Amino acid sequence: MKKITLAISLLFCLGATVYSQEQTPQRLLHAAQCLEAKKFLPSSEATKLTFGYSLDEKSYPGDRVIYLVQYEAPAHSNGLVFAIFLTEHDGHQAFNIQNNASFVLSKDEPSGVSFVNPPLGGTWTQEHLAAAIKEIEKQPRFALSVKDLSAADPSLVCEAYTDPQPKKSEK
Amino acid sequence: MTNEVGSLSTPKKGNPDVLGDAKDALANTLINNANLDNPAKVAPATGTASTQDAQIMRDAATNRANGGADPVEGRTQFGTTHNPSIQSRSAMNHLKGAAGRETVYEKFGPFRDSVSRRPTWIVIYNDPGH
Repeated sequence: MKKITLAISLLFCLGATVYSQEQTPQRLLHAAQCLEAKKFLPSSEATKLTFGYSLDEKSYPGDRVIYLVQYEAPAHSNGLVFAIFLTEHDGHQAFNIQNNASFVLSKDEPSGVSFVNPPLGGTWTQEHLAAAIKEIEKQPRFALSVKDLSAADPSLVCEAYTDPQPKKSEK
Repeated sequence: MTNEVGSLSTPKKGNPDVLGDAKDALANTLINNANLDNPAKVAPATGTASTQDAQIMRDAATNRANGGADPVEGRTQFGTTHNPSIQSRSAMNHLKGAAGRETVYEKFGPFRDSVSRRPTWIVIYNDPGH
């Protein structure tokens, strides 16, 4: 029995090593750096924050959106979710933060997700956010150091829905 | 508009005018959003709008094109919620006070939501800082 327990523990350890050694995708790093630049990430004593993400190229025809989840803790399933659109600005890729919410997984909701702080948008948008959260839950997680999040390349273009925005007629 | 809130309907014994008013406010919010330099992305215009939705959207566009009053006074952001007493949503940008919150400009409901068991409200938000 002890041998089986030891073998299972070893497998878990190996799995965790592979999981944590997976290289952080640049797109995820840049998106997270934009969240930090726009003050959307929680201020805490933690030296690392845990993220998951998925890229959606279908829901908004002609547009690419990254759904990014920042988990409250490495082993938790609740946290913050962001919808970040990828656009081009003078040859640079821009990260446009268009939506955010806080969530918990909930069996009481048909979608499996309950929004604590609601996102912007209608039920269609909320369904897509909930589906992305469920999808990301199955994907690898990445631990990014707070130091790396603050060290964004100056050429990184970050925009957010909270930025002041003039109307076309005010130009 | 149909794609964003098409799952909502008037509950039993509810007043159908409330959903009509909500969609009129939403139509004008979408028009205001479209007039921004960088409009927020909304659900793609796939599928067919209901006759009522098409009429509401057409009336709002015609009214605004003719210089008619904007019932939401320039608001560009909207949402849905299951919380009947919502006062605001946090922008979660760590700014204190109004700059960090989007207060409710107007709220409509409750509506039945075909994708949730809970009553749902349509909310028009003030921009952060307003």
